[in-house]
This record gives sequence, structure tokens and C-alpha cells, in this order.
Amino acid sequence: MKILLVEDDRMIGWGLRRGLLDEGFAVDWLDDGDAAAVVCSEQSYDAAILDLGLPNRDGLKVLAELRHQGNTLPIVVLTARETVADRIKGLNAGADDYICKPFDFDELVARLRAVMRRRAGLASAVLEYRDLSLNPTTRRVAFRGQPVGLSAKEFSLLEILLQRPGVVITRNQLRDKLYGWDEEVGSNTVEVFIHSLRRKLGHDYIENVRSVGYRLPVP
Amino acid sequence: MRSIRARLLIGLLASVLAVQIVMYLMIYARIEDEIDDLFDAELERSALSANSVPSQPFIRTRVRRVEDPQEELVVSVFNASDLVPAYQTHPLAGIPRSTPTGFSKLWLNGRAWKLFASQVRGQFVVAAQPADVRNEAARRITLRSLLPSAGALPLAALMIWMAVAYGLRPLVRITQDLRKRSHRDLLPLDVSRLPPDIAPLAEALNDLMGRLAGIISTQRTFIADAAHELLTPLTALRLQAQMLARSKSPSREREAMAELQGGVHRTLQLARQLLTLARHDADGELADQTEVDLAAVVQRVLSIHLPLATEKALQTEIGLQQSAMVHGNEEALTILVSNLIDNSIKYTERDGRLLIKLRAAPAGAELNIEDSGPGIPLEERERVFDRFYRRRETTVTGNGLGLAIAKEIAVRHGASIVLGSSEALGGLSARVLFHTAKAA
Repeated sequence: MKILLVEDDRMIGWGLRRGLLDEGFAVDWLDDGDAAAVVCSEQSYDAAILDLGLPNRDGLKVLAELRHQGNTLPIVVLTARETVADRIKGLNAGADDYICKPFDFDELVARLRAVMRRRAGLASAVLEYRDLSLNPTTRRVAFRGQPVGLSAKEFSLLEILLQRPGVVITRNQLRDKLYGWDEEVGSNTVEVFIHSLRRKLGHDYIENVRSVGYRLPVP
Repeated sequence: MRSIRARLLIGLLASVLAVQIVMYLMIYARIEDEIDDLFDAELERSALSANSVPSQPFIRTRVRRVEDPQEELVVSVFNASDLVPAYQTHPLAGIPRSTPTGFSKLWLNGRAWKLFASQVRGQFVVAAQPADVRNEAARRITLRSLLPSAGALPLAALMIWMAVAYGLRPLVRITQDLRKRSHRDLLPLDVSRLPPDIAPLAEALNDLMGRLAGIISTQRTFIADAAHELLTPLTALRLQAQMLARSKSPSREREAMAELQGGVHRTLQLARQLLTLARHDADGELADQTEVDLAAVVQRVLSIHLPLATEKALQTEIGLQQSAMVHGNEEALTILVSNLIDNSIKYTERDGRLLIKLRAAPAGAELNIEDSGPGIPLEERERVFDRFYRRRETTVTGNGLGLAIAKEIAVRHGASIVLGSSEALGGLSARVLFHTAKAA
């Protein structure tokens, strides 16, 4: 799960990035509106956290522009503008959710997960596939009723696959979603995680589509 | 203080009373004359009427009754050259034989008497009457004629009371209007409906309320802005605290702790600047004004800030006049100079240049601070003085208060800050001009 974080305050940006990484998200952090507009249209993110008071370009403008371009990225708007009128303006500009400063980090993450879930068309917070269930909030995975110990990256990889069973996801897409810009990525990292996941869950769970990518086979 | 109503009532009643007393005295004097003539005539008639009974003992019935205490008209009749009266209407009269003929006055038995003496057919007749009887009569008649107008006094008081109430009605109306208002309602009073006497008062009141409304609105905006600006550092603090709580390794914990401390420092900085702003608000009084040597102030500020410049390897050129005296508050001036120099150091890149010049100008002093930083475009040179205004491009941490504070302090000292671009260094130039004569 890869999040675009657009926040100009260095301290808030640092805290959010650190917390989101801890939650198992990959994070790209930008501190200005112009760059946000460009990056959003080029990269594939699962969600964005957008601060409204940005240098160079106002967050609301960035938001409106993205929606105008047909970008459907789930976006949680972060702002100190807390009047009802401001919220309405934000939501009308295309925000999926609106959270006011000073916010609680756990609430922000819960809202972030909720908008991603809604965008994926999922009703429940818990992802289920055959004998497998994954809870993004508690970060627990159960296989045939037994808890399975997964590393953060393994967990994220499984979560990505579980969101769209049957859909093939390329190695590059997976790598993008697992890592932020500033993280070192080895060339065969994705394969390493797939391998260890198969070892823990059995080989028939993750299907290798030759020279394309991976998917969970549709039963 | 006594009420206007009481003042008017007392003043007007006293006037009415004074007029009445003067009238009484005038009438009394007039009546006294009349009474005198009347009594003299009676005295003369009483004396002369004694001659209708020649050589006979005085017949009581011919004169007024002596017992009448109001009159006490006494007649003594002396025969030839006797010293003792042959007859007198009152045993105690004791009127002397030596009384001169005609009208005279005499002090007798502790009383002033008016006498009339005449030779009536060989007999010497003296008629006498105490003088105070006349005064008494005059007084009585005067009082009697004035009594009705005295009775009108309460009526006058009542009418004065009502007239005063009528006169004060516009004031009462203003009072009620003001009393009905909420503390937010500072709209001006309608002066057109007021009499010209109190219109100036209402206008002065309107003026005061107008200024008050302005100050309240400024304060309200400031508080709203300040609260809004506090949200960012507080959000950071909350996040930093949460990150510290979640740290799973000592190194993470150390990192989070450092961040949290940075957040606390920043919040304190903002709080401190807000306090400074509140203290040096342009509307307030400038306290503790003395003759301040600006050169000493700049030197002190430099001693604090130069290490920061050295750290950024800034090449700093300083040209200070020996002394440049201005009139004002030393602490405030230190903040002013400090904010400007701090800005220059903060916004100038590493290895940049700084120029700080102070010279005594004919009318006061001129402080020039120039740098090789990015400068401020012309269209933003006024806006940067607004509270909480931060330039979009800036990457330097700040809260947008430094220049606002500097400006307010300058205004309070009758000084002006002009931002321009530095010809020598290419960055920003800030020039502060002090006009000693105009210092507030």
C-alpha cells in the first residue's frame, strides 16, 4: 500500500511519514502543491494525504485539478481550516475524507484505510480469500484459523494481492507499492517476498503469470 | 456628584426664594413708610383730641383703649408747668414733661417710643407709642401680602421638577438606548435626533465606540489567527508524542525524542512571539521611554546573532556609528533590530553576504540591513508585514510574526521600515528610519 503524503510542515511531515511506515505503508512525501499535481498523475498510489495550506499551489486547487483530470485516487484532506463551510468546500472539490488539525494519528490511519476500502469496493475491513483472512487494522493474518507471522513487507504484499483476487499485478507495480522513493530496493526483492509467502501459505495461493506478474487464482 | 436634576432643582428654587426675599424687603420698606405716616397721624390726632376737654381730667373714652397691647398708645396731660402729669392713660408711662413740642423719639422703659407733644390750651399734652408696634404692623402687612406667593412655592418646585425631567428626556433616551445594547453592539448613536446641547457628547461617544469597535475587531482577528497558527505546531507536537510512544527501538526513541523537543521549541517560539506582539501592540502605550543608543542595541543583537552567521559561513560587513541616540523603549528596539538581523541570517544561503550599517541621520538614525538572500518581490513587500503572512516559496521555519512585530515597534517609535532590493548584495535591503522628533 503506497501513500502519497503532501505536507509542507517539516515536523508534521516527519511524524506522518514515520507513523505510516510503522503501519506498513510505503510513503512518498512531498512538500509542495505543484510537485503533488505532477507526481499524482505519473505514479500509482493507493491513497494520498493532502494538506491544504501548501506553498506554490493551494491544496484545494491540486485536488480540483486531479479530479478534473479524472484521477480517482482516494484522498484524505488534512487541514487547519475547520469550519463546516471549509469542509463542504473540501469534500466538493473531491476529497474522500476531511480531517482537521490537530488530528489523532490512529484516526487518520483508520480514515485512510476506510477510503481505500471504499474505493476497492470492500465492505469489511478484513480481507478474506479461501482459508486466508487479513486484517489491515490489527495487521494480523490467519490461515485456516491459525495466526501466521509475516514481516511488514510480506504483509503489505499479501494485502495488495488480496484486494483484487484474480487480477494480475506486475512486479514493478508491486515494487512501487511496497517502497517509497527513499528506500533502497534490490532488483529481485519482490520475488524474495513472494517466495517466503508461498513457503508460509502453500504454493497454490499465489499464481505466477509468466513474464507479467502475480495474482491470486480465482477459484 | 449631585445629579443634574437635583442641581437644577436646588438652583432654581434658591433663585425663586431669593427673588421672594428681595420682594419682601422692598415691600416692607415701602409699607414701613406708609405705616409711619399713618401712625404719626394717629399720634397727632390723639394728642390734639385731648383739647376737646379743656381743663378737665382726660376722659378715657376719648382716646383709644390703653389695654390694647398692640397699640399701647399713651397720652399724658401736664398742667401749666407741673412736672408730674395731671393725667395719664397708663400708670407706668412715665412720659417726661421735657418732651419737645412736635414729633420726637425717646428711649423709655427699655423700649423706643415715638412721641408727639403740643400745647393745648394751657395744658401740655404728650401722646406716645412704642416704635416697635409700627415695625410689627409693617411686618405683618408685608407677610400677609406675600403669603399667597409663598404658598405657590411648592407649585413652583413641582413645575421645575417636571420641566427638568422634560429637559433631561434626551439624556434618558440615550441612557436607555445604551443600556439595552449588548456589548457587541457598538453602532453609533443617532445624533440627528438629539438636541444640540448633548449632540457633541453623543458624537464623542460615537467616536470612542468606533475606535473601540476597530480595536475589538483587530483583537478578534488576531486571536483567531493566533489560535489557527497554534494548530500547526500543536499538530506536530501531538504526532511527535504519538511517534515517541510507538517507538520500538532505542534509536527510534531517540529520534522521536529529538523531533518532539524540536516541536516544543517551535511552539514556545511562537508563544513567545505572540506575547511580544501583544506587549508591543501598536495601540498600546510605549512604556519606559528613555534615550537609547541604537549603536549599543545593534552591537548587543550582533553579539547574539553573529555566531549563527558564522555557522552559515556568512561574510558579514558591519559599519556602526559610534552612537546614534533615539528616544524609545530599549527592549522593544532590541526586538526590532533582532528580528530584522535574524531574518537576514535565516534567509541567506550558506557562504552569502550580510551588510549591517548604522548612521546618525540629521533627524534621528538610519539602520540598513542588506543581504545576498533571495529578496522579496515588489508586490509582496507590504504583505510580509502582515501578521502570520508567510511567503509561499519559503523553506525556512518561521511563524510569520517577526516582521509584523518589527513593524509595530517601528510605528510606535515613529520610525519607518522600508524593504527594497540591495544594490550591493542583490538580496533584501531593510532600512529603518528613526525620526527622533516624531517619536511617540
